[in-house]
Amino acid sequence: MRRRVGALLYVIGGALLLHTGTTYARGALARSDARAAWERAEAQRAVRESRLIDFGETAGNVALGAPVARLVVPSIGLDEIVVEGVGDAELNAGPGHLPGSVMPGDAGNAVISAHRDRHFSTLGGLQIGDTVYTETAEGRSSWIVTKRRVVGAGRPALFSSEEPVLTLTTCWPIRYVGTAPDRLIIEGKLIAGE
Amino acid sequence: MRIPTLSFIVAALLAVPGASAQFTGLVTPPPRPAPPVEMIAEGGAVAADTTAAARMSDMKAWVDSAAVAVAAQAPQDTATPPPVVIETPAAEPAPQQEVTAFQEGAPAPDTATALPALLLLGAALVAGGAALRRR
Repeated sequence: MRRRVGALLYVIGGALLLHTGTTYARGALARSDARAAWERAEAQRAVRESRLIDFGETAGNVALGAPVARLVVPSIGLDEIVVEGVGDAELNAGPGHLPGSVMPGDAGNAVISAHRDRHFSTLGGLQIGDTVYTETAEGRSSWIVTKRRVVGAGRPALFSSEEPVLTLTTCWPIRYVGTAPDRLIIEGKLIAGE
Repeated sequence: MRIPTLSFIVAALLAVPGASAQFTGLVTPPPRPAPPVEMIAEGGAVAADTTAAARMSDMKAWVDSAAVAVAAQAPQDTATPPPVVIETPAAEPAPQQEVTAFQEGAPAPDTATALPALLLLGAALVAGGAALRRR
């Protein structure tokens, strides 16, 4: 009897491990693909190409899942390729640019979100005053972190702006058992763009 | 190496990345708000009034006079315990609505994921299964 229960636990646990492992592996592959596409086409050309490709489901002019920017935060060792969209598939591949928000560097609020257990696992270490760099088809921008707050998952968190603003979001607490109830919102102000 | 032992080792290794997103040393609760100054002052007044009542000899006269006083100066009556204000807890936040595009005042995109918890649970089940089969 005990061996049968053990075998049952084996099977259930194995299925869970297989599911999570497959999801993480798919995300790693998609992340690698996005980075390869970005580097191969040298940023600007990649973005222009992605805008011409029709994947069927699009958000504005940019195909969902297409690499649209590069996000670099030296202070926390973050260097990620941002893809368009914040659906499950996009967030599994990398930080997602929220459709409808502006591209980093443009006037307005550019929103980038990612999972706490993957691409933004170190975002909790980002402090006010740290520098963030973004690179898009339009050019490179430097940002300085000016705000850091935690809000409930369903609370208003995103607001439009006339000035260029970069907003990074992830789940909070970073270390939490289960689905995290809050969101970490970090805002940056543009200090230099080219 | 026996299969249960090997499974346990593999499960433990697989769970390491996910487990790191599950545990924290300390989750600090929000600071408890300090009691309002008015409540502290009224508490002191209640104690003083009670002491004064114990010294009175004619309790009936005191009760009658107190009743009149209460009726006339109900708002300023410090002998009456402050009303108990039951603070209803803030309503539970609504379930995260799906955010697919930027809107003014929208919540942050739903980045919550149960994958680390599932990974940890799976590793625990495999380890438990290995332990049961070993006996």
